[in-house]
Amino acid sequence: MSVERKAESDVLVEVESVTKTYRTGNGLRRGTPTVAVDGVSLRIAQGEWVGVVGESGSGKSTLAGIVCGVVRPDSGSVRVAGQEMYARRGMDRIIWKTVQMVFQDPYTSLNPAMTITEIVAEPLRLWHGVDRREADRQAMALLDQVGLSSAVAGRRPGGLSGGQRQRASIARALAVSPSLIVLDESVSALDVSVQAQILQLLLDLKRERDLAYLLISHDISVIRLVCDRILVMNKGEVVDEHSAASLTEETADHPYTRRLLSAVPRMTASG
Amino acid sequence: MASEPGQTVLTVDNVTVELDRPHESTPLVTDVSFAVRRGEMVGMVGESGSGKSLTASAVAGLLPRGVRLARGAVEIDGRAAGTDATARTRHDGVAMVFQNPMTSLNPSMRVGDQVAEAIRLRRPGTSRRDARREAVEVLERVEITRPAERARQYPFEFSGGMRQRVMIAISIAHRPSVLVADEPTTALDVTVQRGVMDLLDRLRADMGLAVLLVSHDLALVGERCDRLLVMYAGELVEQGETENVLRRPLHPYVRALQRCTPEHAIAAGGLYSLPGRVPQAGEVRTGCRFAARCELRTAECDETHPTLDAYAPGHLVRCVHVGRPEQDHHHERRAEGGV
Repeated sequence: MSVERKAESDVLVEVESVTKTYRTGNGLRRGTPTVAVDGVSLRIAQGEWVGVVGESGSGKSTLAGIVCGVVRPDSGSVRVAGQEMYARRGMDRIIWKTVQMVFQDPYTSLNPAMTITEIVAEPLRLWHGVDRREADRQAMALLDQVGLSSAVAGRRPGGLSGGQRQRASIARALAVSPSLIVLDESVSALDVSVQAQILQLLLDLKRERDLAYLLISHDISVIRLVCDRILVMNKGEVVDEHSAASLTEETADHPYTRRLLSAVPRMTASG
Repeated sequence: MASEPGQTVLTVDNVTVELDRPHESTPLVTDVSFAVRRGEMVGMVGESGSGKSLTASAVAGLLPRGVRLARGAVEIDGRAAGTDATARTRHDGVAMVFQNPMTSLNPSMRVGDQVAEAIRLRRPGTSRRDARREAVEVLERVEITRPAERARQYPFEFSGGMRQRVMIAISIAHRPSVLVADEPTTALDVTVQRGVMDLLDRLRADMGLAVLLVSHDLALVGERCDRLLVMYAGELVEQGETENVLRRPLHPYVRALQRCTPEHAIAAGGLYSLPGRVPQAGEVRTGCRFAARCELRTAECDETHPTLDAYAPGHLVRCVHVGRPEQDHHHERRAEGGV
C-alpha cells in the first residue's frame, strides 16, 4: 500500500466520501436501492494519472460520472481546483471547463451530423470565445496532435474508424483545455492494434501536457501501462490502492486485487 | 453424434465469401480451409474486418443477407452443411453462440422455455413436458444453480455471465458436434469470462464438443485453445498449434499483434503500435495484403501474393520472408529484448 503522492498543494481533485444510491423502480413499486458508490474518497494531483479498475457493477463508471459533474452524489463532496462541484442545485456547467470526459463507445459519443472539425471547434468557440476561423485553425492543430490528418477533418463521424473517432473524442476533450480528463473505458471497444495506437497517444499526451487523468477500465493491464496509481473498486468501495508500476499478482496484498489479476488471460499457454 | 475421439468433425474447404452483387465480385473471405477435431478448441483471431466473424457465420450456416458463398464447402460430421441463413434447414451438428447474450435471447420468454424450444425444434416429436424437463437438465449441465427455479425466470433476471450460459445451454441442447462461439466473453468481466471459458472446456471434455472460438483477444485464445487460426484481410495468414504460433510466431502480423498488447508493453518497457489498419473489402491490392503495415516489406511483397505454406508439419504461414535471414535476425532481436 506504499503509494507516493504529490504534495498536498498540487491536489486538483478532492473527492470526500461520496455515496450514490440508485433506485430501480417502475413507478408503481419502489424497487430495491442499489448502492453504486459507497463512501469513496479520492485525490488526484495536478498532472497525475489515476486508474480505477473493477468488474462491471463495481461502481467505477458512477464514480467517473461523479467526478465529471454529471452524477450528483447523495452525500459527500467533490472539489475541483478548490471549487465545490455540487454546491448549487443545478448542474454547474462551469465545471466542464476544468473536467472533460471521453466515453467508451466512439460510435455514439460524437454528433453524427457535424464534421470532425466542427466537433472539435465547437468547444473552442463556446468556452474560449474564439471566432469561427480561429476555432477551425486551432481545431486542425489539435487534430494534428492526436494524429488525425486533414483528410479526415472534413468528414463526419460515420466516415471514420473506431480508432479515429476515439482520437477525435480526445481532441474534443483537449479543446476545452481542461485540467482533468476522465476516460471511461475509452480503449475497451477497440482492437488491440488500434488500442495500442490510442494508448501511445495517451502516453505522448502525458509527456507533452501537464494534465491529470482519471482512467476507468476493466482491463488492469491498460491501467498498469499508462497510470501512476491504481484504485481497485469492488461493490462500490475502493478496496485497494497501489502504485501502478509495481503491481503484479505477487505484490498485490488485497485478495480481490489478486483475484482480478489472476483472471487475466496470459499470452502463452504454459506461462 | 457417434464420433470417435480425435476424429475430424468440421472441415472447412476453400471457403470464399463475397458480397452478393450481380456483376462484380468483392471477396470478403478468401480461400479459408481448416479442420477441427472432436473435443478440440480452435481459436480464430484477427482484428475487426479480418473476416473472422463471416467465416464463423459460414461454418454455422448463418451467413447474413447480402453476402454469398462463392466457392468452397463446409462439412460437419462428414455431411455437407449449408452456409446460408436463409436455408430452410440447418445442419444439426453445429450451433452458434454470439457476443451479446441480451440481444440473442428472447426477452419476453422464460429461459427454460427457450431451451425447450430449441429441443423441440430439433426433435419435433418431443412433448412440451419432456422438453421442459430436459431443459432443466441442460441448464444444470451449464452450471446454473437451482436450474428448475431459474428455468421459470426471464433473461433480465440473469447476469451477463449467466445469460451467456443460457445461450450455451440453448446451443448444446440438441448435442451438436461443433460449437461456434463468436466473441462469447468479450462483453464480460475477466472473472466471469473465466467461468464461461471453464464451462466450454468442461463441455468439450464431457461431450467431446469441438469449439471454434472467434476472438480478438490473443491472450484468451492463447490460454484456452489447442490450435490457432490467424486471419488478416479475409484470409488465413498463419495457423498451427497454439504453443508454436504464440511462442514462435512466423508471420510478422502475429508478432506485431503480440507486441501491441499492454502486457507486452509493460514487460518490454515500451509500447509498440502497429501503424495503419486492416484493408477493407475492395481495397485489397495485388501482393501481400499485410505489406502496407509490415516491417519486413520488400519489392517482392508488393508483387507476389504469398501462399499459405507449411513451415513445419501443422504450422502454416503466408509470408515470403519466412525462413529468410531477416526473419531469423528478427527472432534473435526479440530474444535479446527479453520477450
